[in-house]
Amino acid sequence: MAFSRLTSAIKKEFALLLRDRRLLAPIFVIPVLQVVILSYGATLEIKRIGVGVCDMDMSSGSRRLISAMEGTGYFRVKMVSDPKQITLMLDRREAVIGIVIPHGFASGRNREVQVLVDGSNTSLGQIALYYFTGVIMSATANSLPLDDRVRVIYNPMMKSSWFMVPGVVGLVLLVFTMLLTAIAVVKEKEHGTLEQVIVSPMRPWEFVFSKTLPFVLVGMVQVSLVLTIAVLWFRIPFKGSLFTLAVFGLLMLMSTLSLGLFISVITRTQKQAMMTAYFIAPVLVILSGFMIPVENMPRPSQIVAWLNPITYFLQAMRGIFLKGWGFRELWPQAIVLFIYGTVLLSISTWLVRKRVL
Amino acid sequence: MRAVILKEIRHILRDPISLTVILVMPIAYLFIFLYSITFDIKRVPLGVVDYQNSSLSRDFLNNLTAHGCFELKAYYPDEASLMRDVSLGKIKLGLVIPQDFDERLSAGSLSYAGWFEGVEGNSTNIARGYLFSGAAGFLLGQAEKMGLAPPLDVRPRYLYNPMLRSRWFLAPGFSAIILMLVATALTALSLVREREEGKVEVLRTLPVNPYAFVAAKALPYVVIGLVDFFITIGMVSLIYRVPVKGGILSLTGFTLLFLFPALSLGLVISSIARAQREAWFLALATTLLPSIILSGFIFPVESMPMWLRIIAEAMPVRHYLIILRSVMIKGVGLAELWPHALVLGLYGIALLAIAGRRMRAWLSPG
Repeated sequence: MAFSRLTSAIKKEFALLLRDRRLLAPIFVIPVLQVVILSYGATLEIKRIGVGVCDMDMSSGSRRLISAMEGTGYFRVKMVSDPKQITLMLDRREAVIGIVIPHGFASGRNREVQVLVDGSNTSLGQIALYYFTGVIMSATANSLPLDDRVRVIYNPMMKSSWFMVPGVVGLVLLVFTMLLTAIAVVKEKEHGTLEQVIVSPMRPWEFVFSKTLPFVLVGMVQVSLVLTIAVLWFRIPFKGSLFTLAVFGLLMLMSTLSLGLFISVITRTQKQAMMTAYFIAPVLVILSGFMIPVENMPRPSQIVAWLNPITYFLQAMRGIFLKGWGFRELWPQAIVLFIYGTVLLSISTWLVRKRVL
Repeated sequence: MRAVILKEIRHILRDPISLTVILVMPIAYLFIFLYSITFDIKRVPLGVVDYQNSSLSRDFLNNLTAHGCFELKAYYPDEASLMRDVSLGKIKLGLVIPQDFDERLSAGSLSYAGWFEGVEGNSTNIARGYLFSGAAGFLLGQAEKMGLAPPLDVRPRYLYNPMLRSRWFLAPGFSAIILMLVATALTALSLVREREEGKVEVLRTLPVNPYAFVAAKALPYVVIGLVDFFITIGMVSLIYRVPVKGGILSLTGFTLLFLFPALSLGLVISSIARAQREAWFLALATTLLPSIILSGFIFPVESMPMWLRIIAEAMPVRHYLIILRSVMIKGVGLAELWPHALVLGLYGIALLAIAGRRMRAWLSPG
């Protein structure tokens, strides 16, 4: 009896989900959009960056330097005749760095090259300066005798997308399963259909199980979608195994579904549930190392991040994608997520029984 | 019109959660994000295998760690053990100093090898720059000691933000994004709610001008947006000491101009969506990630592929961010920024017109 009761409840939830066509579209379109935008947009490599150059030397040597700069494709050189104009270009955002090649540069009398950097954009300014230093070192005859053989491993082109797209798996699972679960339960509150559930012989765990199962599947489909696009279209390496990924996905879902249940307990209307989810999600995402690694944060933020289950999930994702790690390396993360999942799920089910049903 | 405005205000005040989101969210976000996110890359964990182990090689390492960019965590006996810790991420830069380090240095060349754990591209890129300039600086120092003329001297000078504090760079970005999120998310629910609750029928019976109605809906949110703006700018300048070089008055003017398209975008979403949930997802899709990634907040728009650049330039928050950053950090004004201001104004008009048209379609019976 209990089994058929459960299956019919699950069937009902699936029917509800599938009927809501206008909700299904964003469920699948938004993750794809996120991967596309991140993969194309999240890059700090520089291309066609505006550079103002004031060539006071006007020699073949200085011209060689300028054409070397243009040849790299990093820079879009704009010549000016007066060093003062460079500041003006930086003011108007026409250039990120400005270069003054001194008189006597080619003859070696004056080797002091002034570089003005737009400090209002710190990362871009620094990277542009670094690229320029590279160009000038290799373009001038007495280049620095520097034999730097440091290789970058796991992400040789240093693409931000390789760091962030594995994180999108976590982002998508968090935002959608949390929000959808919360809405699904709160909708029953709003429509006053909870009484029917209460008088039915359905147990609380059955209610929670049938409410969340459709979103477990939604989450799994979303992850597959993200994975397919990331690997096949954007060629982000996936060195680990799908099995490890799936296990971590399920462990993570235990936590995110519970968060959705928590929200449904404390809110009364769909709007409130959405607002709360909207409010919580960015904090959980930022303090999980989605954009910048936890190690680069100040100590108090790190402590909060280590209390956040998503941090462990993102570590696992990057390990699986970029390093090909399995449970041998990731067992601590798996245990932490499992403990979080069980504890949160038990508490939230208990809360749903006490406060909702 | 006044009745519509008053009703909307009452509605905002009645819902404690909306009110919390409006007032607490900007403060909490700004505090958490600005505190946690920093691009000042310091104390990058460094592991070393020093096959030379001479005073010169130690000098070189001291030179790298002296400025606080790198922190020497441990020496390793061989490359395999160093490599293991690099791959685990315990060590970000594993440096191998060759056996003939001194010999080559006396011949005038500096050589080393190693690995960066590059999973996170941005900080790796910057740390690599530190390594490069640290090595170049060491080499120049050596050349000077030996009485040789330095081959080339690149002298960087940072304008506007001489200490290169990343908070100066991030704070305007966060302010712009938070304002965008609040403005669009709030108005996105305003019209669709009326429709969901079936109030459109009532409106149809009244002599309502759809454009005036839509504008009246947005007005209370202009005030909220301004309040949020003052909260964020106040925090940014008082707690985090980010300057507002161009003056608060000019900044407020630009912000009013920005609220126009930002709120109108929410209204357009609200007039397209059939249900609150749908409006919510649309608002999320059009604001959250795009405004973080495509606004130039962190990633340079100039380097993106052309089609994505077009989308990025088409977003109001991109222009607002440019304005905010320029006014706050560079101290420039309308003379330099009028093209961006013009774009914001035109957007506002266009989006409001679209929302008004949609509204008129709702109001006309049948």
